[in-house]
Amino acid sequence: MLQTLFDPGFFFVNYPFSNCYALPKAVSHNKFDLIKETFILLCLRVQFSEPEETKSNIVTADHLREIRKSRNMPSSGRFLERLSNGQSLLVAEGYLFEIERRGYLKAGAFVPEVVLEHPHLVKALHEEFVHAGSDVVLAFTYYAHREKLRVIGKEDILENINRKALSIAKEVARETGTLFAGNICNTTVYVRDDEQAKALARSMFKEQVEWAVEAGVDYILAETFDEVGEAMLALEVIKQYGKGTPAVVTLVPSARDVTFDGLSYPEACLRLENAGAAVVGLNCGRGPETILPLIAEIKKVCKGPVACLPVPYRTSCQFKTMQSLVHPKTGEKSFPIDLPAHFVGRSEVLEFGLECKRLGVEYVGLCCGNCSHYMRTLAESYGRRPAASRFSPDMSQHYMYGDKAKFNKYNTEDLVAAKN
Amino acid sequence: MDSDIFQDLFKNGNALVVAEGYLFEFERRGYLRAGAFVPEVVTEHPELVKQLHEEFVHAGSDVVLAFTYYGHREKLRLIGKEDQLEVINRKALDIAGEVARATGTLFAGNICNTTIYRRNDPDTFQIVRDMFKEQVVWAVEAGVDFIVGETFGEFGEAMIALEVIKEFGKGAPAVITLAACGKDSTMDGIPFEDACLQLEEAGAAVVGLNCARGPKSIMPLMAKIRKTCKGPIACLPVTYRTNDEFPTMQSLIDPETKKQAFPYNLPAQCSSRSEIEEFAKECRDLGVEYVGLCCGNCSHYLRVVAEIYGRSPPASKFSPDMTQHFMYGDKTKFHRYFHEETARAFQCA
Repeated sequence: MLQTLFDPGFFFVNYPFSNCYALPKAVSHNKFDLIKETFILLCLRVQFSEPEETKSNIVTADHLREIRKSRNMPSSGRFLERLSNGQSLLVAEGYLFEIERRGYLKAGAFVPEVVLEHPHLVKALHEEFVHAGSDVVLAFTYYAHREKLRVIGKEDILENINRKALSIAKEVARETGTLFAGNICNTTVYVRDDEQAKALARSMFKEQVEWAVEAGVDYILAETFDEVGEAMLALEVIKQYGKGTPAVVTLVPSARDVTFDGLSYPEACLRLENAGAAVVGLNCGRGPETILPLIAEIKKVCKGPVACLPVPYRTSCQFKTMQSLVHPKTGEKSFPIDLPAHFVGRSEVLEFGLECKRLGVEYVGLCCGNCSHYMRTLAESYGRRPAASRFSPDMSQHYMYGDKAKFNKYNTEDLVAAKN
Repeated sequence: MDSDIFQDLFKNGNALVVAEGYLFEFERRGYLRAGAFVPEVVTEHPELVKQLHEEFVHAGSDVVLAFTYYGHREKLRLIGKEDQLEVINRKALDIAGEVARATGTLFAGNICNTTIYRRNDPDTFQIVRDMFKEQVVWAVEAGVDFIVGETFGEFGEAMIALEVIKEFGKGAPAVITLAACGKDSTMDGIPFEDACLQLEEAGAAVVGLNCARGPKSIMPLMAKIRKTCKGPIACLPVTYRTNDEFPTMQSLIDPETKKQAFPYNLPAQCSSRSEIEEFAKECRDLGVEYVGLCCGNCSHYLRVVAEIYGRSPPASKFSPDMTQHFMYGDKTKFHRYFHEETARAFQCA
């Protein structure tokens, strides 16, 4: 019975959870966990056995609502439980860059006005990312803080934009049975040793945290901090005003191996972990190749879950961050407009995912530059099969490069030769 | 719309900016499978197709191209869904027509390479003809302004497509574009400029090239076509970095894996926006009247093309303004803590 339930086939085909991805094999450390896990699986299996004719790889929203009702847990409980069961979380970020790419957000200020201007597009992107394997719907409040809105002359929409972003994200999270996360970030006003600047940063964090808590988030992500000082301030605000909401705190690694305030990244993460962050790690700035060495070091030092969300660009020893990349032809800075020329291929995302899994990274995702095909690849590297896996490539069906038994050599040989 | 009105569009230096690339964009978004590349998303998520049409218009497309590319009998047979042929076509046309009317843009039908045409096997010609006919008839019934027949590797197939549009298109103008492989001639041995001229003389309203080649490798052929053809010419490259050594996206080798990049690792070969800008300028200066982007296209690229062609689409409101960036922007607006110190930290170790 247990064997059947843990059969990989069962996981991949039948497990109804959030648009049908499979939980990775439960890493149960003791008999109690195993029994608990089995019990949950049994309940779900019994509840959701479908008649043969409707069985499919894709679970509808109705099923998901049922799952949610059956669990009926307080929101922070769900987040912490996921992590304590040795499960991993896949997290899609990259909303700013993706909406910029789609022509609805301005590079430069990078403010998510789209939340108010085209909320349906934000909703569609949340859904798309969940479809591609994200376990989390991250409210689009990145850079929707007081300072950025001041820069574009729209400080008066601060509360509206935050509440709207939270509302959209919550709706999608509820519909899909995924986690709902609030998001605060680098303020761009914090200056170490400037008490006034710090006080301003603090108040900026506070207002966004409070709106997130009121909206009922499962956890709050505080991210993209250059220095531990600002990250610590954010964490303190979440602890003080978050009403027990767990905090995920991630730093953005620069080209150096120390934070802007001079700590090594492992040390910085450990401090944040000791100060109460539920998950610590790195996001943004670096690509898969240059973020992994730091993550490996962090993993050695931190005891709790570690987060890794690089940008999917080809950084290297010579060009460690996306900001340092130069255009191969002109030698000019690629950030941000010419970054498309530096994308990683999907194979590299697959490799990255496998390496993170091997390292035991529990909270993994992609930041600026992320999009669904990368997200799906990452999810699959973690053993998931999200709804979008139904559309994973099957090149055997390509009329030129596919199964030669199916297609005429006119296409598979002659045309192939012509295209080279 | 009849041919005359369509031709009038191009007079006085007017041009059409045309967004393509629907297949690849939906594949990227996780709603379409690479391999067969069939637009099942039309019936599975019509709201997403509508959104992408709107997004492309927002970014500067003058045309809403019905998403019937590879929505033909052979591709549907391949995936075991031939019974959905008519539904998919009519739905795709429906969605596109609705967006075109709502935005005041042109509504285009789309037929394409059948993948079963064989020049030395006349039995295939009738099948190909029938495939074109059914899609053309549905397009005409939906009220398209013109019909695109595209991505033909050979002149023979392109000509059949044109003939079918002429016969059953009820006057809808035809835009016929060939997919240029690695050589300077079509697969049936005709130099591209000659093939285009013959199609023009046979009645195509616009002729040119789409797909396969990227911005760099498509231009030399376009220059020849411009010299030969008298009427409007079309240029819609893929947005990948092809070059002399690797002239088509299919030929690109990924520098990391050393294997064929197509299709999984094509993201690593994307053009930068600057390259798209250069491309658009070359087209404009050459006098390309029907310009766009094919596989790999997305809104930020298309906006660049539209802006070079003198437009200011709604998405231009979101064109980059780096003066507002806290690290790289106007130094008088931001603390040097960011524009000097933080910037330096991200630059070098």
